[in-house]
Amino acid sequence: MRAKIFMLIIPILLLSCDHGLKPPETETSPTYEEPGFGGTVYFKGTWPDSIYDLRVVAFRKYPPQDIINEVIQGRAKFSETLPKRVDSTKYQVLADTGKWEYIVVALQYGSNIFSDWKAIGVYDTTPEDTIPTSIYIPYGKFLRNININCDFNNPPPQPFKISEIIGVLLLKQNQDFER
Amino acid sequence: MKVLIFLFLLSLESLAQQKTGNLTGKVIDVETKQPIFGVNVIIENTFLGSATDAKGEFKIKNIPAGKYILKLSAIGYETTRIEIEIAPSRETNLLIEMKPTAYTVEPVVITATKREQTLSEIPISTNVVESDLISSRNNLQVDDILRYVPGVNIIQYQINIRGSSGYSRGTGTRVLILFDGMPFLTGDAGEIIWEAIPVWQIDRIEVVKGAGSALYGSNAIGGVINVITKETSQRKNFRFRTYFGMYDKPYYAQWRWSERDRFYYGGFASFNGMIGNLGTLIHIQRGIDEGYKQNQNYHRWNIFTKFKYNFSAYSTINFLFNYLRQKNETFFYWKNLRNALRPRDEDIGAMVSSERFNTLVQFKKILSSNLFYIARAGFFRNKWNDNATPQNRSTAGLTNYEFQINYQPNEKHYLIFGIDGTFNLVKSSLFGRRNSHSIALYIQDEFKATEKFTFSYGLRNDLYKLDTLKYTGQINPKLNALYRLSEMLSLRTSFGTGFRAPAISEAFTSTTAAGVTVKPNPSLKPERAISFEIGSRFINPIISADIAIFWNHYWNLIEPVFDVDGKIIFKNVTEARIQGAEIGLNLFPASPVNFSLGYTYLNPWDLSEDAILKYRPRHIFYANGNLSYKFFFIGVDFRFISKYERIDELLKLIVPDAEARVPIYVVDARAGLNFKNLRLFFNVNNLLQYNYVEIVGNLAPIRSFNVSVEFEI
Repeated sequence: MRAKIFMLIIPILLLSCDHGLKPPETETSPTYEEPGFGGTVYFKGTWPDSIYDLRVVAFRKYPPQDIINEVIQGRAKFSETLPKRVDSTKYQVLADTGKWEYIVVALQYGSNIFSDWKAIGVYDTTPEDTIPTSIYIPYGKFLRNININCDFNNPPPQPFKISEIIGVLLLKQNQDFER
Repeated sequence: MKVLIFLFLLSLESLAQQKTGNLTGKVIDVETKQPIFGVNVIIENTFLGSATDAKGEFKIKNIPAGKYILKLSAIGYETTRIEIEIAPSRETNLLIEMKPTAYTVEPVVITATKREQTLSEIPISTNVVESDLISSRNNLQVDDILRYVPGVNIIQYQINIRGSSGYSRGTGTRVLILFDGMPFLTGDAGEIIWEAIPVWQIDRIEVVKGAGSALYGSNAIGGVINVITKETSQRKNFRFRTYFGMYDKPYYAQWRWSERDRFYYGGFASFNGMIGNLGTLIHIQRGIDEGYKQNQNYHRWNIFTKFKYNFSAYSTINFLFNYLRQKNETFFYWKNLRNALRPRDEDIGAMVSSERFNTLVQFKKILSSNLFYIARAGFFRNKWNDNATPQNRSTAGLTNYEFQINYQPNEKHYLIFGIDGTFNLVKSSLFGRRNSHSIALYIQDEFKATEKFTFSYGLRNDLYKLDTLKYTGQINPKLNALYRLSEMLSLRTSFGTGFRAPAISEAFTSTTAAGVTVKPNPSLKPERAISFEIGSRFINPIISADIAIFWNHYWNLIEPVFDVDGKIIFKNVTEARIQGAEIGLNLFPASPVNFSLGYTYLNPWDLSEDAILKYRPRHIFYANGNLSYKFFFIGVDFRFISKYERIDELLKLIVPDAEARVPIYVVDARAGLNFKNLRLFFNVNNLLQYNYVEIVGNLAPIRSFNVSVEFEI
């Protein structure tokens, strides 16, 4: 009789026990936000006569290595076109969770989307060095106050062929849109 | 210098010249009258001894004339002691009968005092895991074995003894691991490479708790673990083992990431025996794990060889070579709790290739009945690279050497003294080109004040230099006492200090990985610790119990913290105190049944922040039961670790759902058949499919089943 009770107890124990961690019941928690970042871009200096496009662009790596692949794979992210000839403007970029090492304000100064781009501002909270400040977007968080200063008279270093990169990026966006 | 060493050895030789006789004998089973193979025959209070061969015979030469106690011990037999008298220039011959017993023989431990002693003679909390248990659990790595040792818990690959380490991303372990007596930490990160140790060639693992720097120097701040591999055998022996395992489906459908089942499999082939006069052990092992998590597979090869040559009965050289080649994917953290078995998007495809080997040469010479020395030298090369952009890579070569003398001038004193040192060269994209070296002198005396009362005291002075930094010295004393109230019951107390020199990785890392940028801090100071313990041990054939109360104080603990620029830097930030109590119980109520229990209570307090220490549980409980009947056996292990109350604030920022953690309740079960040359095992790990994390954002292994077969010729 005792053996039978024992045999009965074991499966009951196995079936009734707690299984520890479990996935949340809803896709997102109440505090979940679409991940990304945003803030204000401040402009100073003399605006160029010719402005075709102006955007905030974020890259995963700095210095950018194999950046073309990063762009082609859609891992670089950018904002909507920013307003021109203003002192400052709000912006936002929807970007995935994780680290973003290079956030830049890019200006298209000519009609050629593949070549006429340059960086006019970089997110850098430590201007004493030349390394841009990276950000980390936690899961379900939107980072605010990622503010960027742009000086048309004193643009930051142009560490790579940014013109070509942003050209490819926008071209890819247009292709995706057409599909 | 060479001349000095030669003269020193010569003087030791001359000390050894005395009038001697020889002892020969045969050991047989009292019931069957058959010879017993592998009996350890030791002349007590001397360094002289031997082991029986396949005919049950032994020979001990050059024994100084006099009266002695001969001690014989073997697995499955009662330990026997007989009085003998050795006459000068004569050979004494004995026929000795040993009585079989169903009870376990008390294990021999070498790590606690750098000499062989039975567990009941050890004045420090020590546990021993023996090879049979490792084999029947089908543990694939040493860290899996240590998960069931009282007072020990593993956080991912980082080991804690009584809460010593917490979690510091693999760098700078606060537990020293020895591989056949030599330090087995990498030269760059100072980490333990568990997978490089061939688990199926382990004879036993000794776990010594509390600060042990008075004998072992840096890193022995929380304890010492010595992995001792099997001896080469006189009888030729081939072993083959293969295993095949499968992970169960994740308990929650949301966590299923693979359309097919995930497997792990592998095996080994080994030879152990004499080739001519050379004792030879060769072991080749293959392991593949597809991973229960996405981006977590590995493919590895292990080769382990050991050679032993006896120049004479009292002069032996051992050579060991151990090699690991591995390719493994890297799972840093989960994407989130809803995707607990998937990595973050940016980590998919992350992979590390590594190649590691270590060698050890050890020469032991018994110069007389009361004097022997051991000289050893080892080299550990660690090379790895990942596939990040830009690529991280590191090569480290760490050389160790040691010269140890054991001298027993009379029955009251046993002296051990020695010198050891290291030389380390690192070339790494993370740390640059770095080097470090150290030298140390140590001495220990064991003083037997009365038959019941033994003191052990010692001192070690370490001098080390880390790359461009200045020389730093550390003096570490120890004092232990053991009082035997009866044959079965003893009281002990121990006091010791410890230190840990910063690892090269802590002082010089400059990298970005898994979303975190780390910068160097060459001004790091060594960590320091004091540990104190009072304990009691009771051993009889049916029950053995060990109880201990301990107090450890730590200064200058190195922790990664955010600096003002938002980057991580290793700093000496923490002063801590860990107090607690521990009880271990082994029960052998009847010959086919045994149980063991271990409970540890910890009060791990961070005095710098007046809060509980990060990654330390308050309660650790283990239970283990085994039953065997004829050739059939079953066993079950249970472990409970209370929830870590506090984790890194930093990780909360980086890891989604970092606060998702629970107490740990894990049950592993096994059954098998044990024939003479064939053994079959069936194991279920995490039987109850309990989901938990050891480190945030990393779901621990889900339920898996495996079958293994071992065949021996």
